[in-house]
Amino acid sequence: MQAEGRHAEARERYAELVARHQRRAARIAFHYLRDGAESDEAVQDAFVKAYSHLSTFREELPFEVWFTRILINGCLDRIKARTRRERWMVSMPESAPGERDFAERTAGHGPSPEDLVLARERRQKLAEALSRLPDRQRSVFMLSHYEGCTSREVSAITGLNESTVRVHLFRAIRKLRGMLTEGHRGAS
Amino acid sequence: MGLLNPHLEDDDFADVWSARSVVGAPESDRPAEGHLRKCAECRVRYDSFTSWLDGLRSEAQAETDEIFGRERLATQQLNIFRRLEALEHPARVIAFPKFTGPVAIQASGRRRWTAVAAAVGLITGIGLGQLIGFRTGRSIQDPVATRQVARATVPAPESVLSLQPIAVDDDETFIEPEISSSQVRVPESLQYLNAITPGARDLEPR
Repeated sequence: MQAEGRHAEARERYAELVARHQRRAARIAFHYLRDGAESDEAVQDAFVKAYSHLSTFREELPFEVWFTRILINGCLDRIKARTRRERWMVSMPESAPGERDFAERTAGHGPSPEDLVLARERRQKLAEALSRLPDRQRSVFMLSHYEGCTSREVSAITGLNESTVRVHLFRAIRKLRGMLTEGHRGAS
Repeated sequence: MGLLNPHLEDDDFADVWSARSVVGAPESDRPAEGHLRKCAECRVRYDSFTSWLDGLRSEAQAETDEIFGRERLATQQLNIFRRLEALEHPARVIAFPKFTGPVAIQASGRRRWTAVAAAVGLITGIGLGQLIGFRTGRSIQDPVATRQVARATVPAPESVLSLQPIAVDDDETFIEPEISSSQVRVPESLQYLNAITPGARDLEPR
């Protein structure tokens, strides 16, 4: 459709794909980047890139796998760029990862402020532990555990063979368990 | 699991869990799986291990669901389609505004020659000027000529420094100090003092 110049029709069809995969894409991007605005940009970039390279998409792979690969590569590039930037810049005081104001979060009938603070602490620890994992282990863990991908899908996304996926998953869990339970014990 | 501790540890649980999640079913040939089947205590601990992992997932999902609400996703979608549309209609390059009147290009060759000739003339003039100036400067700095000029301008010491009693009626006595003082260029207000004060040359042994 795109090649035939039926752009409006192609866009409409693509809109269905975007709607289907957008939430998951945002989740994956956020787990990598830990920043709402940057995750938005990464997701947008990935969808635009996928659309403009649809001609290179191979039918034997599901779109989800191909797209996730584009997204993760984009996130890793952003992390590299951020690391380079942070070498030269002084960091600002840390805010909530979703950039939402505390007052905004506590207003209304939501959880109590104490629960929110505790949840935030837990998430912070989890995010720190995840960020300390090597890239491959983190990707394998997030895809197979958070996103429920099969080992075959993880293998297709990461380019690792299935037995290596299993090894990375095992190592990731072992490390996470060590880091998070150690922290828990230290705190209590 | 070892000789001292017959029960499974966290590493064993991680191994069992990752194997199950990759393969999709328990692997009966693994010793840890066999132990899990037999040991109720380890099964309880394994269940707590898996619920810890499930807790991690639900925590992570709750966090992202909180951040990426419906509105945010709708805005994101809108931005995606705006960018996709922009891809199909690339930005139009606006042409640089043209000159209002036609530019005369015919005389450009003649004009160029005139400019070159003017430049050459200017450079030659400056060069010659420098050369002439250099020669003149050299001739002034000739030591013999300088000495001659000095002799001609400096008057005899006696005429300048001779102190004579002032005769009120004699016109020459009034004129002479004026001339001598003008020769050594003493300011007018100090001329009288200069005349009555012995100079350095008076102190020289004769």
